[in-house]
Amino acid sequence: MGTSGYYSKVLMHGITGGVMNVLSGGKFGHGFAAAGVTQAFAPAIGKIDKGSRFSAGRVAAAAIVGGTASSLSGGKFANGAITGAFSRLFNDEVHHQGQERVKTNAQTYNPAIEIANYATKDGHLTHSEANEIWRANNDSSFEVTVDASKLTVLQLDEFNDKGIALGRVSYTETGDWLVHGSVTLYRGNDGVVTILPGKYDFLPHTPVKSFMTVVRNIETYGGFYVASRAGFSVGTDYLINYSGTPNVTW
Amino acid sequence: MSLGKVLKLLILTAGICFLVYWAAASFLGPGVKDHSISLIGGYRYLDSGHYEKQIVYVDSGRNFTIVIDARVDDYLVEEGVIYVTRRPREVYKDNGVVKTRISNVCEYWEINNQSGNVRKIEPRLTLSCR
Repeated sequence: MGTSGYYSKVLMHGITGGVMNVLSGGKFGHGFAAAGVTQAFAPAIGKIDKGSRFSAGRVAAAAIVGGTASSLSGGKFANGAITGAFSRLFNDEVHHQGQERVKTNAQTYNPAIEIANYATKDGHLTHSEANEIWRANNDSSFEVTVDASKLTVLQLDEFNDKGIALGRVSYTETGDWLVHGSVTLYRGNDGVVTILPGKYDFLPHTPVKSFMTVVRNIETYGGFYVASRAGFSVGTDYLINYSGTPNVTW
Repeated sequence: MSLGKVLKLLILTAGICFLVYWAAASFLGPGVKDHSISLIGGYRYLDSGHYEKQIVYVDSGRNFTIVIDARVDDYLVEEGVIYVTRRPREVYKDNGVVKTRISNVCEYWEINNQSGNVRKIEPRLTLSCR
């Protein structure tokens, strides 16, 4: 960020803090001072716990800076501390995570590998783990293999002559269903049943040919909104492979 | 109403909308987008994500049958006939893990809703593969 960008960000934060303070019954100047000064010190605060994705120390430092600035301008320390802490929590801490990924991407290292290795140690991929991998991933050909035996799949039809049948991960396992949704079952020549690969993505359905497609696309965007932390950490889609046999029910 | 109150109301409304959306969105993942669209009769287009896009038939007892297997690329319903394009999905094993790939061949199919006949047809200009 250039010098002008730095000052405009400080100014914008100051104005927002001032307006918020007025709305909560305080004075514009006190909120302006707390939020503006906290933002002015943001680069210095960012050096605390360098390397960590989230730091309570950074939030505490922002609270102290905000409280002190508010106090010096004649306001309450507590109000300024809250403004500073929230400003850090919902702005810089989110950006901090994004910056780290850009850095690791530039080194062509894929942080998703470590997360996926850890997450799939038990063979099971939870919804939050799946989102975490998606956020960290920077490789469109990245693949994760999970243990199908950890999943309960409702089979919807008989296997056809090619060993294909339709299925859906049980609604009762909500987290699993959010990750895997509907699946295709495959029974190989050896008689072993498994699940065909699926993609962890948030791509909308196109072309839109029905009202339900619109609804599903809105829901999909909701999932993207959460997974990407309101667009601050947009990740890369990856493939989920399955090993083993799922618990198939009718 | 003063400007401050209007501003306060706007921020409060936006805040509530944001919280409701956030809470609802916490229960959303890629799985929710898997769905089927009714075409004609009991025929439906089923999209389970990735290559798994099929034309299925669902009878009154909610029993499913695959009519055109993955990957269905496009479809068109005209005068009781469903026209479909697909690139056949192939299944293979890689280091013991079952994987899939898509053929380069673009096939054209038609499904007659009245007779239930399903047959491969010559390419139609109105449809194509992706």
